[in-house]
Amino acid sequence: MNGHPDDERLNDWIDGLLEPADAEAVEAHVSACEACRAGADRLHALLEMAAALPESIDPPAGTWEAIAARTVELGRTRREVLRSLRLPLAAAAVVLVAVSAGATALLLRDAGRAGTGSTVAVAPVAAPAGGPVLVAAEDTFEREYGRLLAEFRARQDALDSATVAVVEENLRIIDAALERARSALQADPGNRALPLLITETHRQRIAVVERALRAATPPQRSEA
Amino acid sequence: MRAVERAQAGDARAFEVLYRENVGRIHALCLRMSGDPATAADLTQDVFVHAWKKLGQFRGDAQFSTWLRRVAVNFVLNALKSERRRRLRVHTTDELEPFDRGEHMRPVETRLELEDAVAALPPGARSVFVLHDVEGYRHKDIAQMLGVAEGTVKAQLHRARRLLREALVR
Repeated sequence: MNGHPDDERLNDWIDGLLEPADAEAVEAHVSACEACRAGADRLHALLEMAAALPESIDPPAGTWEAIAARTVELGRTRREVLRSLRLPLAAAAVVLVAVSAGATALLLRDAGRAGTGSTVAVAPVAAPAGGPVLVAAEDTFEREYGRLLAEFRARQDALDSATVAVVEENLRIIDAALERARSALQADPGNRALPLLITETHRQRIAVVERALRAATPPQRSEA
Repeated sequence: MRAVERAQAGDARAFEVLYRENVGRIHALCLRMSGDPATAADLTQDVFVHAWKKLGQFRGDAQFSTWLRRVAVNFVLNALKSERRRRLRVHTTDELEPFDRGEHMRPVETRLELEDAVAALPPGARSVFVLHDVEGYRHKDIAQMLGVAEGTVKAQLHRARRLLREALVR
C-alpha cells in the first residue's frame, strides 16, 4: 500500500467495511506506521468510550405524570369520538358495497361456511368532522386494527398460503385507499364526505381481518 | 396477556409498565440527539405520547423496546429537523466552518466530558454519531431514517469522530 490511509479509509477499516485484501493492506500499514497507529489508537479509544456510555439516563422527575395526563386526555377524546359516531351512523342511510368478494369466498371456504361476498354498510350522510375528531377516531381504529392483525399473524399458519396472500393483498389495497382518502382530505379539508369515507375504510379493513381471524381459528367444540 | 397487549387494548397501567422499562433508554437517546436537557425532557414526553397513539401499529414482529426505540429515533429526527428549519430562518447552524476544527470543544478525558463534547457537535454530525457509535444502527438504516445517501451518513460520522478525536487528545 502506498502512502497513509486517509481518514475515510481508516474509519472504514475500523468499522470493518473494507474488502479483506484492502483491510489487510491498511492493517499492515498501520502496524508499521507510528503516526497512523496513533490515529487508529485514538479512534479506538473514542469508540470504546462511546460504547461504554450508559444505555439509560433517568428523565426529570414528573415525566410520567405529565405523559399520563396527556394520554388520559387522548383516551377521553377517543371515547367522546366513539359516542359521537354512533348516532349519526345508526341514523344514516345505508349503501351496500361489495368488497373483496374473492377473498371472502376463500375465507368462508376455509371457515367451512357458505357465502358469496361481503357487504359493508356505508353511511353517506352525517360525516364526522375532520381535524382532531377524525385524528382521534383514526387512532381508535388503528389500535383495534393493530390488535386484530397481531392476533391474525399469530394464527395465520392455520390457513393455506394462497388465502393468507389474498388477505395481505386486500389489506394492501385498503391501506392504499386510506392513504388516497387522507391525501384528498388534505387537499380539500372542507369536504364532509371524506372523513366518513376514511372511517368507513377503517371499518372495512377491520372487517377483513376479523373474517381472516375467524377463518384461522378452529371451531370451539361444544361441551353439551 | 403481556403488558404491550394490555396497553394496546387501552390499559394505561400497562403502558406505565412499558414506560418504566424503557424510559431511561429513550431519555438517553433524546438527550444525546438534542444535546440539550430541556429539549430532551420535552422530547421524552412527546415520544411516549406519540408511542401511545401508535401502539396499534406494533405488530410484535420485533421486541417492543426495539420498536419503541425506532419510533423515538424517527420522532426525534423529525422534531429536530423542524426546530433546525425554524432556527435556520435566523442563522445557519450546521455550516462546516465554525465547527470544522475541534478547538471550540473542551478536552475529553471522562465519560461526562464525552457527553458534553457530543452535545457540542454540529447537529447533523451529532445525530449520526449517536445513532451509529452509541445506538449501534448501521449506515444503511441511518441513511433511511435521515432520507440521505449512505455516503452522506459516513461523511457526517467521520466528521463527528474527527472532532471528538481532536478533543480527546488535547
